[in-house]
Amino acid sequence: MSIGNLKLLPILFHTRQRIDFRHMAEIEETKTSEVDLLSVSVKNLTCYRNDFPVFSDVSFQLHAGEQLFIMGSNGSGKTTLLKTLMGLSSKFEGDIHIPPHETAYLGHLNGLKPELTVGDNHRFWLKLENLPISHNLLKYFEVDDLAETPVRLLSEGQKRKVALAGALETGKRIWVLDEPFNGLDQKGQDLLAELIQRHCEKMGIVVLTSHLESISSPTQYLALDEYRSLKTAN
Amino acid sequence: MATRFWKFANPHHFGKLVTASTPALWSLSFLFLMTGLLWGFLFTPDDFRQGSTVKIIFVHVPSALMAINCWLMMLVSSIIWMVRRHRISILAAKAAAPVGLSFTLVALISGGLWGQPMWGTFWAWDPRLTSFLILFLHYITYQLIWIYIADKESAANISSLVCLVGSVFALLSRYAVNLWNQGLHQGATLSLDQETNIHNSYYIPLVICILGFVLLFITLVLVRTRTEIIHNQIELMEKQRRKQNA
Amino acid sequence: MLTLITRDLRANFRLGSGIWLPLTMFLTIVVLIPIGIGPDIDLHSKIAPAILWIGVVFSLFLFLDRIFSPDLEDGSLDRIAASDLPLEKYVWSKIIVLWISSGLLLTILAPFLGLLLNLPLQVGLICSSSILAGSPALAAIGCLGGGIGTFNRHGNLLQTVIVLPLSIPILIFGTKSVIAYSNGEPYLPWVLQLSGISLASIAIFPFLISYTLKTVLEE
Repeated sequence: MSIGNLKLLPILFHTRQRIDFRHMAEIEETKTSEVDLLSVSVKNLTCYRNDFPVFSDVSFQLHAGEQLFIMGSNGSGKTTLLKTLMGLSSKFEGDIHIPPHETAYLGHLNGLKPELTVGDNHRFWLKLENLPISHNLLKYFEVDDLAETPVRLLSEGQKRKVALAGALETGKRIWVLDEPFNGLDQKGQDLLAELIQRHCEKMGIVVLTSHLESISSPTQYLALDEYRSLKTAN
Repeated sequence: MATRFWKFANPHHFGKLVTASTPALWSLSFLFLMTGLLWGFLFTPDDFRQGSTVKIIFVHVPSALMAINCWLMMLVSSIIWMVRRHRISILAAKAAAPVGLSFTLVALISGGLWGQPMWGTFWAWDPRLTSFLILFLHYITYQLIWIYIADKESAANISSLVCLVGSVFALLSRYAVNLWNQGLHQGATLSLDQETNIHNSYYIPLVICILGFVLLFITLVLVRTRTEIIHNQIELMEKQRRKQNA
Repeated sequence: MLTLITRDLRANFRLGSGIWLPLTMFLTIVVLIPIGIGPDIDLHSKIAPAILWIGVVFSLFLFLDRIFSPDLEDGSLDRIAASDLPLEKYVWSKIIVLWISSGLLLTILAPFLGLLLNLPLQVGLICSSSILAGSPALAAIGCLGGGIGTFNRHGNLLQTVIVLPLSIPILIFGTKSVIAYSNGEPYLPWVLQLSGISLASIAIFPFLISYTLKTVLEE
């Protein structure tokens, strides 16, 4: 199919990363018929940074329509957990089940090119997933009139809104968002909270982090500070 | 056999092996080098064409040989790191790099000193010389990665990648410079399939010298690898202490 | 694929520096070396292929920090790595962008700058064809440097220094083809060997470069 899926050269790929292909196949079969099988689960997850575990033995399970809110102070490993969930880090132990083709991800950085316009950036992220161009979420966040403005002229909150619109317009059913409320004004926060709420009602799954009190109304909480670990590697 | 070999991938076993074997290795390499070099310098006849300058062969050939073999060893350890992720393997490659760099430098300098009376010049852009210079450049860039990339695991990944790519491109360069079809350097000094090896009076001390260089290389790499391991452990302990204080 | 290429090309063109820096660098090198040598026209035409080739190598390799580092800093790399798109495809498009925005332009410029060096236009065209055959490999090597550059937080030219020795065989084949043509020997074998190296490089390097990018994402 594509170069990346060949995986003919085992030396080039980290061997420690475990992806459950059976689970992925299952998801693809049931994509059209049974929506309820959508789930994210993490079992006994320990993540490492700088040779030391950041947190250990984290477990949770999310079914369709649920929302997980990950709390924790700075350095408690919120971002590390999300990155591990998205397969961006292989320094972990434990089992992760997440259907990768169903997941939209936005880190704490926006991923917008400052020299391109809002419209260009938005179109890029949609085209990357081979999706038709739509400006619904740009309109929803009330930034659609900035479409011809270069991103470098925008405020932090406006940039965040554009990035969120681009990531969430992809129509993926699982959203993994790192500090999505950062930089947003009161109105923006309310709009995003409502969007997340509606997504859950449509049987989607949302995983989000924040160092603030939760603004949306999550069904599950995970306080990472309780899993902080001091035990040494090896 | 295989499992017994991988046992030394454990830093503890490896450390014990090195500590036990270094005195013997040091004395053996000293013995071989002393015998070979003294025999070579003092008790061999002068060449009828080259005079006594020929005796630089006892330094030049073994160091050139080890310069290439050291790169091969680094390549093998880098591949082992990429496939099996053994820390000692990449630390051994890191430890071998400066040793190989020194051997290359010694080969280049001794070659220049030999070339001056023979060819009338310290340096010529002959295929063999040029490819050695290129090897020298590759050694330096490999070393630079370890110096400049702070994160140990990233440096290990990148250095093994550069070693792999560098090997291919060094071979390509070797092939490419051969096309200049201009050569001052003589053919291989030692080869298994040729009748016209050098005379026996040189042959035996040369072989002893090569053995001495091999032993010296093994000793240096083992000791330096152990130092790297200890260095790593210290760093880990410091990180741990900082973490607990925080 | 095409989406990635057009976005990067558009960003390069809008930023301006993306295409003007390599071109200016090329021009400066080609002007500086003859000035250093003095007005010895015969010598100029003799070393012209080497000057052009070294100009190409440096103008491609001096600006490697712009390839992956911006994407890492603004978070695009994270988002692309987390998307369905294989990282190798992303890297491949970067190689193509680097090649279009410098290799291709330098190829077009080379025969005209060759005239400055007293190189006949016909020989200049041969030189330019060898640059056309060899620059994809240089672009692939350059992207490897760009990948290594993402680890480099000192803002120095580490990545350039590391990948420069890899350009040696390409430099040799490139200049050899032009010299062979001026000597009336067949030059095509050299150009074909260069194309072979280029094809192999753009096939294999994406895997190596995405290995470096995976490493930097884990840091």
